[in-house]
Amino acid sequence: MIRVENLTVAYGAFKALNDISVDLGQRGQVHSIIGPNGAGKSTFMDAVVGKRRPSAGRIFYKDRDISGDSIQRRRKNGMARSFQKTSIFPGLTILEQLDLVAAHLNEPDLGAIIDTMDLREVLHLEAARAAYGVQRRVDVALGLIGMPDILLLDEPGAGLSAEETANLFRHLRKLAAERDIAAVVVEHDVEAVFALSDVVTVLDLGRHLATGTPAEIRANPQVVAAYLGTAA
Amino acid sequence: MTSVPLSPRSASSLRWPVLGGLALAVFLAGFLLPGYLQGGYLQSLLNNGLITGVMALCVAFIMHQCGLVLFGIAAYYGLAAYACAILINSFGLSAMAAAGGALLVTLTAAFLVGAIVIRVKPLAFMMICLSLAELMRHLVALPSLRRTTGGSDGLLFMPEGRVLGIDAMDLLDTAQVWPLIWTATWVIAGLFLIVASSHFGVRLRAIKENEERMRFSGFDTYWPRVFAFTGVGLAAGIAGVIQALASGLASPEMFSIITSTNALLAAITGGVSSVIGPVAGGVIYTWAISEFGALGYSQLFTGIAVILVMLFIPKGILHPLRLLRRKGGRA
Repeated sequence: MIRVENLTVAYGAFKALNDISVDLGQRGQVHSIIGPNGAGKSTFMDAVVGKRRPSAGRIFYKDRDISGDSIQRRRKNGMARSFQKTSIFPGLTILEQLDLVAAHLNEPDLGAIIDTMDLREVLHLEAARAAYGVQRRVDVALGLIGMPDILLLDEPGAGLSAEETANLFRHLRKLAAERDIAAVVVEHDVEAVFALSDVVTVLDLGRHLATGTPAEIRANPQVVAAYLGTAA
Repeated sequence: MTSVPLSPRSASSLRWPVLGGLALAVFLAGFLLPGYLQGGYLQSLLNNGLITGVMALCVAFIMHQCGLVLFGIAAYYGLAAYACAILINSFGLSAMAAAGGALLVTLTAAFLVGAIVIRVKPLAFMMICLSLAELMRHLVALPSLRRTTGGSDGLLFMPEGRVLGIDAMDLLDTAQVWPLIWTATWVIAGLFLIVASSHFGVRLRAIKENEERMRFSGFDTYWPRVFAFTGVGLAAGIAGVIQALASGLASPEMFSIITSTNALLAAITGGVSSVIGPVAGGVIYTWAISEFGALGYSQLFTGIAVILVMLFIPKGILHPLRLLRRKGGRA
């Protein structure tokens, strides 16, 4: 669904992403992006969703060049994201914020999203007063509204326990299958990634190292040397 | 959109009819006030208090909904007053036509300024708005513009015709102008309340809370705030036109930093999260300044009072009452 061609993002002389070409987002699949700190995972995500302007290269979405599109346009065309640091509306109730976005994006079934993300019991709670795990689920729910074709999640497990992260991934797999959306996940928890992803892409120092199934990635000597080490 | 089946929150079904009935009774009773006050000092104080209250409402609305400190509301208050006076003096318009023209000028100016200042950071927003008001104060006082603006003496004018059924000359009387001030205050407060409770109001607060998430949810985050700023400028303009018609004068002091400060402090005194708070704040603040002034220590006592309010009831003087009401509701 997303094709990235020769993507480079530079901060002055430093290249956070260097000539990356990769295809992302098969419907119904979870595609994870992993790599050590400083690999450029979040920058990659920012460039894909339009937050960061590429220094070179192009991004295609459903075969259309979207490199110059605004964040709002990409979202309206079906590309949603959640954030590494929970990004919700703390002063609004959970229902207020879900309802606001649902009305704007013509979501046909907000109730299903609320149930899938297990938020029904906390709808009238001001988001700032909700537990962190609930806030993460609200963040993902905001991304799911409007029937997106692709959902990009930046470290959805950040701040969650291993069990909560595994649960969240299971939710994602279910959502990807039920709603026929593609989920692209940047995640640090390698075990969760290998257990629950269909495809894995590895970045290292701003370069594309490998893309394949979890089994292929585990067996890739370059990936083992650069990132997994003996843990694989 | 499919509605979400929700369990309703526990709320008395009688709450809104009772509150609405009470509000209507207070609104209607307000028209009887001049009969009791019989003009004079108290009526004048109340008139000025409500005018300050309307400006405080504007400051409170933009602060609560957009998270911006509008420290220059006097620009739109003064602009509307001068536009009204100039349209009467230089173009011979009736009071009603001049008021309408002045509000159109203010609306346009607020929109143009809003379109620029909404883009800047909060501190720059505050300083640009303040500078604009000060710039206009100096502009209208320029000797070269004296023929049109009256220079530093201000611009006296004699309004003609009728304004909403009241003879324009009668508006110079503190008791006769009261229904206009009272109605305008209620209409503006009511409109702000409706907007704040509407989908648009939630959208504004969501932008204030997390602009980036709003953009990633597909929302435009610029125009809603420009429209909010424009609306607030227009409301301040209404206060300016009424004040001009009530005094037959537009003066450079209407643009002054003191006018803007009074509105800001009245908003803070009353509390910015409701529509009653800023209006009450306007009346109390105006009364306090007058009383402190009579003692000869206006600025000293006002400063002390503001510090005490900020320290002990930072959410405004009505906040303790709200807490008591909530406590009563739970009991």
